[in-house]
Amino acid sequence: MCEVCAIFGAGEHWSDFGRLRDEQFPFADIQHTRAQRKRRIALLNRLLSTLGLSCEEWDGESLVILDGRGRSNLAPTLSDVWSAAERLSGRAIDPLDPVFLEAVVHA
Amino acid sequence: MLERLPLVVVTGFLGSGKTTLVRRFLDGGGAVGTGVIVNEFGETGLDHKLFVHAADQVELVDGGCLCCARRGDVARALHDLVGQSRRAGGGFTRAVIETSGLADPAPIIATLANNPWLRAHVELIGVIGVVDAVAGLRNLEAYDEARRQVAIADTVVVTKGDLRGATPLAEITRTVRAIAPDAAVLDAQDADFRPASLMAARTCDDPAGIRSSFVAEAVTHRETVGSFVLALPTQVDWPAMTVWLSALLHVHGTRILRVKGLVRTTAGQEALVVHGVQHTMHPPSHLRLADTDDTPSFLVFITNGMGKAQVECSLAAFLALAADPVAAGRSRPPPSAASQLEIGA
Repeated sequence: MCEVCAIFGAGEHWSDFGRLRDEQFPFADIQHTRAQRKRRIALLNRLLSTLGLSCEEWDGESLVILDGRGRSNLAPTLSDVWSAAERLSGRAIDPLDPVFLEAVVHA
Repeated sequence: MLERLPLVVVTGFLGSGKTTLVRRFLDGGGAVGTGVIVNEFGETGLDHKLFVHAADQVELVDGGCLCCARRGDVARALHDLVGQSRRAGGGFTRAVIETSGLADPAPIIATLANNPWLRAHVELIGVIGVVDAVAGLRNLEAYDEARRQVAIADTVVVTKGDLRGATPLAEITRTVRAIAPDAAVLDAQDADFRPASLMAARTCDDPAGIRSSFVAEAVTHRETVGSFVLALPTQVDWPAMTVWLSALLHVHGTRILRVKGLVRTTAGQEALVVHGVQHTMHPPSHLRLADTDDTPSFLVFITNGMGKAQVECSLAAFLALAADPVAAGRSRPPPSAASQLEIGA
């Protein structure tokens, strides 16, 4: 978030470039960005719930990963979510693991 | 905002002809405005004023593997070049990095992706792999480094085809395509071969080059390194795909030598060209629909010991999850401390 004008940014991670930004008005489609981000967080929550974790918005660009004891880890980008989850839970999410995929379907 | 300095990475095994290729480019008129970084001391055949030497030194990030190493030396050299490019009068308008023959070029790509300053000032427009027609196949057979160099190249230039003992171009092309199905293969001996067009054009997201990925889905002579193409839905759910790919690269990045593809998404009108090397993904490029007519969405994977079926299955599961309105709409509260204690007990 811009500290001066309190406008949410769109992030600079590769996953934040799903839509071409207007160079003159870079955040003209901010509503779209927020909607996509909301869906991303919902999906992350479903995945992370298999580790007893959850994920919330943090400043509009980062994410915060929480465990049931109230501990939290910041993930500045989507790529950082996985290591933050590993630090909190001691376990990893392996998207190729059929056991994990089965668990997340029923989560 | 200032234009980013276009950068071409030239990689290839020892003695493959990288320096000769760069020389041909410079001698052919490319010397004006080109800064060259050689990732190996001693290769000083070029005009020394164009050189910013970079010692062969690797800096490891905390807990990172070699492919995530930041090459501080290359970063510093690029910083110098960008500085010179900004000066009025004698500035550079493009940069070329020639990697050392035994280098895995992935750390250099990672440096460009991970360094915020470089991201803002340097634009990687292409990776050129050099394979020589005499020893090239043998090197690809024997050395992981040689295969990695080819695997991340957008364009492969075959050199020394005029020498006695040279392997026919068709055979080299087959081998190269088995490792890098999306790479364009060019013959340096071809009368129409122009190094200038190679070094000046953006090849990272050339739609024509990407279409060529469909020609091969192959396992190389080394059974561990192989490639496959995943066909994607007409419109891919962008949040689901990014979450999936990000998780996949985090756990299996060392085994995914390259991922590249053209994806139509729910995020916007343009088709996206996505590409990454091991743990590192680059911001996607956006293509106008006219550039990608009739090209279905797909991802190409070049992997070391990873099967297509499990990757395909995993992506399908993530896309199905995202399509589930319950999953897509709800935001779960943090699990209660009590439930965690029960689990812990």
